[in-house]
Amino acid sequence: MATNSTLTGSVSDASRPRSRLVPVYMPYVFLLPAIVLLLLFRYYPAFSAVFHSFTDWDGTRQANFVGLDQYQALLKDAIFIKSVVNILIYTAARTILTTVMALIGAELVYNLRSYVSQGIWRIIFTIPLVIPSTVVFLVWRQIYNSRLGLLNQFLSAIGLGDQAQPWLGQPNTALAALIMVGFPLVSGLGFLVLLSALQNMPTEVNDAALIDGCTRLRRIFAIDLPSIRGPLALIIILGINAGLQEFTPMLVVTNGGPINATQSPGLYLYQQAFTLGKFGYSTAIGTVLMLMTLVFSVFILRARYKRAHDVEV
Amino acid sequence: MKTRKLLLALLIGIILSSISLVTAQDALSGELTVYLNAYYDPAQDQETADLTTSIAQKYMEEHPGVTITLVEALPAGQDAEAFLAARMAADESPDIMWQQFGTRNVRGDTWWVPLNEFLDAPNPYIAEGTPGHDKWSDSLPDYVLAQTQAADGNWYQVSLDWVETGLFYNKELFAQAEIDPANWTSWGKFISDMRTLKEKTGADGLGAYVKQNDWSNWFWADDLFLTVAWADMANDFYLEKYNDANRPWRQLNPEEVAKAILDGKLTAEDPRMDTYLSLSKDFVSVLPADYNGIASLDDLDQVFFSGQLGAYWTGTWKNKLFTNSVPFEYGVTYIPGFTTEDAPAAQGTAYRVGGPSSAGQYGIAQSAAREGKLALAVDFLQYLSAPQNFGPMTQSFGGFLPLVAGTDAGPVMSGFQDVAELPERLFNDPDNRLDLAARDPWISAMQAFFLGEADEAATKTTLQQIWIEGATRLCADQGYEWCPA
Repeated sequence: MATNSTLTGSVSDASRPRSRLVPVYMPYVFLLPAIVLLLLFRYYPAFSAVFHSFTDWDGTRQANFVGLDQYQALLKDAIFIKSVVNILIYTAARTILTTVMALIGAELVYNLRSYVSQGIWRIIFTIPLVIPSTVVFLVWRQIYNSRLGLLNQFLSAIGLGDQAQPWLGQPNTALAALIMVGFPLVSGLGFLVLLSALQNMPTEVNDAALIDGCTRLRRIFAIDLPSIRGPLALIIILGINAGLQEFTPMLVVTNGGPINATQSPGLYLYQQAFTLGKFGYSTAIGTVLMLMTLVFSVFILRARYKRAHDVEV
Repeated sequence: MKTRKLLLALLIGIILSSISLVTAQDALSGELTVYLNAYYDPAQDQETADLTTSIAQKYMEEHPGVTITLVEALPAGQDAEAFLAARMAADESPDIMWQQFGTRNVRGDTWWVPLNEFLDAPNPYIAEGTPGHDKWSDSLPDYVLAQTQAADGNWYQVSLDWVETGLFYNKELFAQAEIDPANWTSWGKFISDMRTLKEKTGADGLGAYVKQNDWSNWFWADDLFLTVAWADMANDFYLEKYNDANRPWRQLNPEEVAKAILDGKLTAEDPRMDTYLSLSKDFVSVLPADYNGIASLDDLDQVFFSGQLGAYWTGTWKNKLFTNSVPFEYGVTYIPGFTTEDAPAAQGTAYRVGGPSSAGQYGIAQSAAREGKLALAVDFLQYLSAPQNFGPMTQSFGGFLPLVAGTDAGPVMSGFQDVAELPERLFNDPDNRLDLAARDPWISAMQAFFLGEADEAATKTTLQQIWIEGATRLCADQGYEWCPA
């Protein structure tokens, strides 16, 4: 009987032979290294950061407990508040732009009839994933150069020389210039996730819609978008997480300037810790950043599950 | 009985001397990691790196059991402070390490070993009869020792060389604009010529930039303008304890700046600061349009090389690069003197914008002392700083003036001897004037002024606030005897 249930694939039979061969604790043994590494390199630093945010630690000397002093100082720190405003603008703009552009790219490729063309475009949109981001930022730093940069030279070439700007040297253009780094912003990961979500949709639904006279544009809004709500939420959450913690483009391209126009909490944290040795203060910034990211992620996840029909809530 | 006592004493003597011999050998054995900045940067200057390697190799041959590991210089643009802060936090710093003296003095004995007692001791690697043989510090100039002394009275580094700056200019563009640096009789004439150059050639006048939260070569101009504006007050700012009869004019140290501020002698509300702001605004008017967005001095190299920059204010460490890479004929000149027409307090002179903020400033990490390597680290540092070793290193690099007695500048740097004769700046860079924390607010306030986001009155109010906060902070950190309770 036991042999029979194994053969029929019953999962309720606890006496199946496999259970006798693999001890019940074995999966946990295999999970152990991952859990240890996770605890050591993710949870411990995070808890350590929260702990140190209540101290005046300078990175080397013994830390003294200072209660909420660092958080009170943060609330009064005009540069930190400016950096939060900047990063909210940056994150919102980047998330919207990268998601929309990835969606457009995915829809365009999805609607190609030739599998060969689909493959070629998929490769083209994915290649940017393997280029180190620092290289991209360095290239864009040159693109924005007022004298030798491609952007101003292009504007001059098409007769818009009067629109040439010192893009990174003015507070009113520097943040926008950072947001546009990587244009046309067809993010490799977002594109791949959305394209695979579209390709996993049942073709019958789209065929039926087309037969009923539904235009491609209407189909995107009425069928595609609701169907890929899950992957879309994932891309948005990843975009928000990455955006709020963004640090590298500010460091490489503008160093937060001019006049803190591109300052971000991540960069400010770095400067406070590694330039001024204020590790306690910087961990307080990190803790606030972590809470902000958590709140936004929960908010997006709740929005994603609200009236969702593709999951059981 | 007597013989037995003698034998016992002999035995004890032998044991003690064996122990001291073993201890001495232990002190000069072990591994040492050494970061020498530009003097070991194989990616940029293989020739000098090879020379430095051979010097370290020779030391190892003379001291069997010692291993010296030279750490490659960080690539340009990489944050050396972050590199160091992370390693200090992990107790993993190179044992002998480069750092800018101003920042190093802020870190003080938290990171670095005070070198006072070693500087007072003989340097056995300096030949007898040469300054430094009996007392290591004698091999270094007094004015450099004074400038690099920390606010707590300690020396955390030896400063072995000096960087100069110069105006490297494009002779073709200057000829096209009919400009001759020999005619620069005042700062005003210089600015006027830079504007003419832009009008006639389309190229930007002067290569300089302002960078938020970091060093930029605008610092040099900022130092100059403060110096010119306050030159007549220098004697009122000097503290008696630092005065040196041989140097009636010298640079202010952070303590003197802080005291002048808290005494109300140095105040941003003073009309002299109008001169400072006016000179500053003239300066940025001849810079590239995106001077507030340029990320590093190296980014200006390309603009200069492409012939779109008339003159480029940069450091002598670029000598080799320029000799090899500039595709046109260039000359080297310097900022002209300031007259009373430029600034009421001007003394009719230019000021030397240079300093011991170069590649040859080395300290010993506290972690080295904790690991029992202090004696070895001091010994290697003494060996390295001896003229027969450091002299050839500076000549090979060709970008700095060696400060060690018994060394000479070499042919490349000899052109900068005129600049080296000029009086020093009264004020050091914004990060060395008071403390590092005063740097970024100063840059932001001046950027806001340059970009029209703050007018003169608002800028002066902000600068005064930065000065007062910085001076108060320095007092709290250092507890000078004159500080208000």
